[in-house]
Amino acid sequence: MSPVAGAPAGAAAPPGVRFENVSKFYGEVLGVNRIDLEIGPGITSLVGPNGSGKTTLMNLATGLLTPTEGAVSVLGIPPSDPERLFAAVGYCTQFDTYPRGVTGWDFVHLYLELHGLPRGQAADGARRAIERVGMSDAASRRIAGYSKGMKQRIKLAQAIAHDPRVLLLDEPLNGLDPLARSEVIELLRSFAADGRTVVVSSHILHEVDELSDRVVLVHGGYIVAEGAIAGVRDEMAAERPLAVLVRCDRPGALAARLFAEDHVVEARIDPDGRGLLVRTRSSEQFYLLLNRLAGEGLVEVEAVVPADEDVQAVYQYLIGAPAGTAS
Amino acid sequence: MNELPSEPQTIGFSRWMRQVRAMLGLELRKTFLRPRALPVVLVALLPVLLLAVRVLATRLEAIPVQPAGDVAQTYGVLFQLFFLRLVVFFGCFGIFTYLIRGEMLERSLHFYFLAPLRRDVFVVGKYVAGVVAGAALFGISVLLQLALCFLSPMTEGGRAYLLGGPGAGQALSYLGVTVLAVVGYGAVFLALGMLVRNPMIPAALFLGWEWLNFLLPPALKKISVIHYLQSLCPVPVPHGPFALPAEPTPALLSLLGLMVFAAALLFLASRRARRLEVLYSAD
Amino acid sequence: MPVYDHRYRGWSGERRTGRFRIWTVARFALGDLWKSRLALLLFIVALLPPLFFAGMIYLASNVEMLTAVGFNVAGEGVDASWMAIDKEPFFWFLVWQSSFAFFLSAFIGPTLVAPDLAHNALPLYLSRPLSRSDYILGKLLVLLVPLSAVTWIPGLLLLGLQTSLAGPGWLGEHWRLVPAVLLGSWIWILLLAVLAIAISAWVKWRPVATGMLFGLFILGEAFGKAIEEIAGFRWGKLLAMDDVVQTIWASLFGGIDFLGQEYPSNPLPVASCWLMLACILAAAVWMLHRKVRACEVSR
Repeated sequence: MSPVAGAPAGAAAPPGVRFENVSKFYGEVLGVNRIDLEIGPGITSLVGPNGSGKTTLMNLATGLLTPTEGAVSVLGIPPSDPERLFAAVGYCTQFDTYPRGVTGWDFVHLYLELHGLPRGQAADGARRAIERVGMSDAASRRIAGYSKGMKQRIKLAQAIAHDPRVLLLDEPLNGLDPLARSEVIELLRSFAADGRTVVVSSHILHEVDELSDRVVLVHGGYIVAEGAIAGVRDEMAAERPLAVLVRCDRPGALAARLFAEDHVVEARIDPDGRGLLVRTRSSEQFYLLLNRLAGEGLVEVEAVVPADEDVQAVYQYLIGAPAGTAS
Repeated sequence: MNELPSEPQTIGFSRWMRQVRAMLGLELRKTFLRPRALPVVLVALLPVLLLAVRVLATRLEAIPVQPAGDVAQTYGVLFQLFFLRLVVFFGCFGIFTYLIRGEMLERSLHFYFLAPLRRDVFVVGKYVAGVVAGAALFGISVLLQLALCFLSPMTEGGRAYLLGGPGAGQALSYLGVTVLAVVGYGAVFLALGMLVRNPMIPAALFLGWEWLNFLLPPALKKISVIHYLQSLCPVPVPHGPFALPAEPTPALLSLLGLMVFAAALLFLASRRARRLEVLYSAD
Repeated sequence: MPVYDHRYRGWSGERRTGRFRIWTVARFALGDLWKSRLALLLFIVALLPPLFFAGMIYLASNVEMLTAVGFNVAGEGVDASWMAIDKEPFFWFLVWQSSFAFFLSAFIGPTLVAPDLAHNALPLYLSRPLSRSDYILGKLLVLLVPLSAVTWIPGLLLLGLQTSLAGPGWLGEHWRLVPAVLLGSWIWILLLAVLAIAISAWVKWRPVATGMLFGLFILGEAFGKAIEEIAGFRWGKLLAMDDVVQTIWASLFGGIDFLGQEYPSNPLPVASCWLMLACILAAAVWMLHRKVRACEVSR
């Protein structure tokens, strides 16, 4: 597993978000325990059920909470130095509350004024950020009257308004319609493409799959897995054999050959007679073998599709929840 | 992407001033120019209403017109015993305890805590907003009270007293004392709002302490806000047969004492703010 | 059990119908109430004065015993009438207990509605078979129970004690005290309870609601006195709720003598005091009507 989730291979990764042996207890209740984690550039998703500690991690990174033990830093800046920290970090929280009576425009503009920007510069920044999230028409209305999705977008505008190098987003896709969702995903991708760090917590697993370079699976206050989905899935293969669907002309012959291999635990022919679902403990050995058999002309392979190499499967195997119930 | 600088702006006093100014604008709008400020405005206007009734009673000849010197004495009693001890006290309680605790209650504290704003600057910004609002509100109330006392038909020679006599100096003193009262009581209630989850009990004890100040021996009198405010009032008033007399503290010392007292409380509040966590579920 | 394995389960307990529903609201709030040590302490302290008054009644009925143990309370130039139990001790009992009732409502009242509003719990209450008036009555009950326990209940018990010691003839002579204690107490506790709950619904933060209740009574009293002193306008006393209620009490008790003078001194007409009470209650009910709603409209 990569020690730095999201770090491009071979690159000297900047510190991004760093947790060093961090524990947080709410009285006697465990928030997170002994977390050692570094998150580098790219999009990293925090995934886990309710109360697993995802929001606690984000709040610790931004100083809304103080760790009971350990140290947290973002780009090497501790949360106790908000002047430097929030010049470089944008955080779109889960809290759906705002200063009473403010409009969407006020919300973003005042935030930029709190950065110490002159009024004109703050206004320019606010206008650009609001445009980017498609909220220009509703900006003059009070946030209290916004729908859930509009609130989400204006929070996002606030988080990106000062052009941060690290963006933390707690359930940013909640309440967004499909169009807005894909726009937000595009926005996050463009951020990540600039070499910035984007950390997202989301319960919509297929979107996590689509969105993230890396995932961090959190459960019960502990990190149960981190890294690229495929890498995590491979490491689990001994206990949870990997499922691969092979579309080919002679699935029966392929099945007979595969049963001779130790690492193959199951091979089931599709009802249409054109495919074979294989479960293997070693994807590497399986793919080598399949290449050889195809080369030998035993079968003509149309397609090879990993059947459970996604975050839903990983999540289900590691945490035990039925797919789609995480949050 | 945006063209804003992602590196921090120059950190320093001028930036803090800009931040405080931004907070001031927001706070004045969201807290003081809204219906929720109505109870405090009504409390501030109580003495004005009281004097308006007196003016009306004079017009209806239920009360005789009085010379300016007597009215100044009556106003001194009203200012010290009613306005300072109750109106400004309860008004400041309403304004300042809510400034930061209110953000926790409304779950909007993170708006400030996620900005590049030092927690100390946050506390000072909130306090300045409260002082500006309180000083404006109670200052206007004092001006209206003085206008009713000396520019209305209830006083004989009131205009000359206020504009050409000792009244002008007294008016300035009353205004100054009002601002200082907001500074002193404001710091107490802001700190209570930060340090104690339910500031009502210490506030009730503080009210009792301030109210019974006239009964305390001179040394204990000095551990209060009202003693220094009274020392600065231009017209001394009697406090009844049971009062223990004490020499008023010199004006400069009173002024400095109140400032230092307020600064010490703000320091305590700032220390608390630095350790504050956003745990809305606990409030 | 993991969170995702929890399932919604329908209500399997007893289903209450009609007005009994308000007990459900009251019962849980009452349970919470006694978790506050301050409220409990205040309640216990408020029960001490009735014990003192009971002792006084007992001693007043046993003058011979006091004389026997050496207290010269009657005879040889001392008039024992000062120890006679008539309407005045019961009036002062009510005045004394009204202060405790005020403190209890100031500390309990704001805990009742404000937290529900602050945490958006009203939609949850009102989406059940519970109307707004059920909710308010339930919350009122929470206050009325402890307030009754420190006002009219001990008042009637003291009347019972005095009757048992002095004989039924005493009650026949002083029958007016029963409705006076009962009605007088109810006027005060109802006023306190409705005001406390209305302020609690208006101001979402508990300490500020408590402060407002204190401010209303203390500032009202001070303003009423100041307007009488400075502007010579006696009607200002209508804002002093203590004065208003004590004027009504005095009329219920048939007039109170304090050191040879009428109490309260220079009273307002009783009808004006009743009218003022009605106005205050109407304003409080209007505030509750405005604020206790399942949703808040943002403009």
